[in-house]
Amino acid sequence: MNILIPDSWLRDYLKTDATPEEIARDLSLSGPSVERIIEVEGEPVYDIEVTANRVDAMSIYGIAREAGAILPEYGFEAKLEPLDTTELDFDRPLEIAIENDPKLCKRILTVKLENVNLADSPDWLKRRLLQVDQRPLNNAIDITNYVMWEIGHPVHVFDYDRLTEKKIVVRQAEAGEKLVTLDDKVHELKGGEVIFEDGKGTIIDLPGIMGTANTVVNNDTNNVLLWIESVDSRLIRQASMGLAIRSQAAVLNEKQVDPHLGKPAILRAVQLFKEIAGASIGSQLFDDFHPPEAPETTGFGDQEITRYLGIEIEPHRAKRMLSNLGCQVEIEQTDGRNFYRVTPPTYRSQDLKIAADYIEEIARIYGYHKLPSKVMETAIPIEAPTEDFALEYKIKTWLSGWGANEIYTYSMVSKDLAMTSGHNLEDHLELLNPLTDDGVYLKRSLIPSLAQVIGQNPGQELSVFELQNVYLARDNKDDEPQLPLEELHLSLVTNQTFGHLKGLLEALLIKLRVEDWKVSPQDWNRSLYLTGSSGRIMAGDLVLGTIGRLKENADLYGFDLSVKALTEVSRNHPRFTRMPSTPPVIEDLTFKLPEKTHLGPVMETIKSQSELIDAVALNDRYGQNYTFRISYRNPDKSLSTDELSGLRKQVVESVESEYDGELIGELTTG
Amino acid sequence: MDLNQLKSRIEEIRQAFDQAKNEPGAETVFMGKKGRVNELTQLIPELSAEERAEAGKMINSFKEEIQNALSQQKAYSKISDQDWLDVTRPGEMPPLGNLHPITQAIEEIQRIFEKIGFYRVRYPEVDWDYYVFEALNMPPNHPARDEWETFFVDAPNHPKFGQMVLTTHTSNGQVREMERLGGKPPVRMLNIAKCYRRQQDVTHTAMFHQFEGLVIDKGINIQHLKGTLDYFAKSFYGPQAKSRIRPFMFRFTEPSFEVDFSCTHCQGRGCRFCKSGWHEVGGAGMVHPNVLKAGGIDPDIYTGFAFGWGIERVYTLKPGLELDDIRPLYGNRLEFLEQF
Repeated sequence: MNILIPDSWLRDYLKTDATPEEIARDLSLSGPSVERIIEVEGEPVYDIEVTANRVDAMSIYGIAREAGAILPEYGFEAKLEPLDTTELDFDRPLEIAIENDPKLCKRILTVKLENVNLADSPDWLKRRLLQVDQRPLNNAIDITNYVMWEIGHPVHVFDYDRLTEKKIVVRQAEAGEKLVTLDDKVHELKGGEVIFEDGKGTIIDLPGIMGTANTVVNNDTNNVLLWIESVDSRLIRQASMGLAIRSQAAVLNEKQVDPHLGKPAILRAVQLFKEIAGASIGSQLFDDFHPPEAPETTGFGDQEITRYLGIEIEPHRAKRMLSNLGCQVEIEQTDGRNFYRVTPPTYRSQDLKIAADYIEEIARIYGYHKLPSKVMETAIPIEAPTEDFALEYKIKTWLSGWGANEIYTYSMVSKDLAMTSGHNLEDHLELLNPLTDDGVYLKRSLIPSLAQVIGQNPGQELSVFELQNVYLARDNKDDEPQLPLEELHLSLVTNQTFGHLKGLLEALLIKLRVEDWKVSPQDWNRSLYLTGSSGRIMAGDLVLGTIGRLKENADLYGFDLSVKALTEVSRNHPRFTRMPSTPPVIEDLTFKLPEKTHLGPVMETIKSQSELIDAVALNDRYGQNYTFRISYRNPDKSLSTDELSGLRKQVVESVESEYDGELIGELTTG
Repeated sequence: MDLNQLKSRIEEIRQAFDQAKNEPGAETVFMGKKGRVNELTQLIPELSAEERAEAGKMINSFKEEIQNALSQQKAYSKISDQDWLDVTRPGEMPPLGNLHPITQAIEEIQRIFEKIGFYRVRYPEVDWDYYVFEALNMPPNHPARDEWETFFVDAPNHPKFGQMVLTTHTSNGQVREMERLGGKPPVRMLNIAKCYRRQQDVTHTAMFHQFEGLVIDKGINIQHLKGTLDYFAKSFYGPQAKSRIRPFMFRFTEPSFEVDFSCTHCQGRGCRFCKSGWHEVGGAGMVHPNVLKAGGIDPDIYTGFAFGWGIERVYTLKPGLELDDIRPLYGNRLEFLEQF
């Protein structure tokens, strides 16, 4: 959370010789980060990020305390002015009956103030509120905001005379109860919120979050009830989130503001009411306090400090740092070792609990930037997982080297895209709280998104690919829900030719040294591909993926491969074969084949006729005439004319008998 | 057809050849299989039997003549080509594909960390609340969770591990890695993965990438974290780059740090890109004892550090990139991606 801290306001409590720039620099290095210094109303104002665990620092006084501990370590003088805790001197008891429930509310502090002269705040106060981006309203409301900013504890003020029943009961709301907040918004309560009621069923405050319209100060206000309470932080958070009221008070209170801060806060508010609103005290200070358990003392040896920092910190220095932060520190010396016993102040009891917490305080105030920097010398682990990231990168490099473009698409897709994934919509995992309609379902296939990318880049020949997870819901195992299967896929879509797509696939499988693979024509009931235009990519019995012409757009072709299957069949080094001693005999044979003959099996058949047939390639096509370039070779000796003519005959016969092919031309004999 | 007619045909062709010999393709037109010189051979059957032998000689010698002329022509044109080459003419490019910038960044980051003994891992992108939050010292309903705008998956809750979520950070790999090793360090993990948060603006996309380092062993301290950060800064941004850690708070580290890298433009002096001289890139810290315990590691014996940053963030700080809007990385316009 960011908080604005005007420099002049800070210096009310911090007496230092450091300039605003020096304060900003050193606070950032050792404490809350000063993101920038802005100029408001002619004065420097720090914009400071305070982390959620440090609600104690979300105020002028809190930052002054931090600076008071940090600046001396940078050689500056820095003295923190104490808060005024002078008790009120007044006898008459408060005439309001308060029924607290200590389980819900750990502290109630309240005092009646009379004859409030409701008016605009004086300029100095208005200016400070403007500097911290708060809108001045009237002196009564402004004082509560001012004190919250200064001390860090939210403060509320009721119109005393509008509390007609003179009774305040603390309880949890029933579901369905309604209230109107001071900004005139009606809220229906979900049940469980801590509320105040007047004993007759009327809700008169949503404490710790926002006042209600029926009891807040208005133009006719004369007497006020100044009020501070400490409602259980978890209930504040639940109510504030549930009702979507994220007031500054709620944002602070949900982080466990120290109830001990209530006293100085209310005293400061009383002082300001007297000073600028001419109010007089009208009752004793009512204080119903059920303090949380006293902060616990933690012990640790100085070797613990060294264990984290790698250097030793002199005990007197560590003690000074912790003391300046408000801790009580005792150091015990045994056998030349120092043992620290540290008790945090009440306002740090939530975040200073274990040794590591105190070591953090010592280290940051010392200055992380002053610690040496070196790479560890410890053992390098050898039990790394076997996932083949290098292979993934090689695949991407090859494909992009062959002209394809790598794309990253979102893992979550729209309903429309999910419906074209080749899987039923209900077989997709769905998000409970999608951000947009474009990202509702977790992908089952990368292909629809890639097709979309081609559509988004019109007018160019494109091949796009992605190597990414798809997500498959899994059934329960042993009655326990399972995480989805995240399956890494490589998909490629092109608007060039099928031959181009197939060529990329072939090249990839060659580079991966996949042996004995083929595409078998196949159709599926629910498919990404057009009927009669798709197939399975197989390596032996293992399915590598699918390939075909896309159903959604017949101008596009795509393949989809399982990276796991690819990894399984790929080899990162070749199987070496002896270099043959003879050159191959290469010749072309042209066959006329019936329409819709799958060429893959024809070529396989030719190849399988003899081990002496080294390779078969498609060399030319004219109409239904296909010319195959056949390479014959016996690695050990030259083929004889007789052998060759026998092989040739065998090839022709097999194509004729198995595929009804017709040889174009005649076989030469000899 | 007689020998004289053949002679005049030869003369016709000779003249045509003299005119055309410098043109490209002349060789095919005249000397090709179906070229004009070979066509003469087809005339032989039209001659009387006595004249055929003589005709053959004539045609062969003409062939030789043309062949010699062509060879000379070739030799000459070779010399002329060696004399002059237009080195300014455009080339014939192979198709240029490209690797996505995030792939390039991941590869570079992985290489940098591998040099100092980190190994890369992969853990679920869709994970249980337990690994994403609870094991990291963030109990249910803790306000610290507000920092992570979480996507929830419509799936049954796990009795032990809670809700199914899209991982909001790569830190879910921390306890998973400790579990993989059976609680036995050394750990020197690099987890690079997709992450998801419910936010979308110029510097945030609902899907993004993080890399997470986790080092656990005896004697690991803040100095080692600083050393690792400095090493990365110099490797990734160049030898002048520096890193800096400042106090911060994460529930799963103690102490926690915010990590800054010096601005590559002004080397930390302050300029219009960085304002303060430094760029904040992400978080780091010493692993919280509770997180070590959750991973089955004894915090009294072992210490460790962790860091996790957005890849988009560290990458776009490279000099010359200065992307102030990261959304086009996932916008898939080729004009954008092809620049990388």
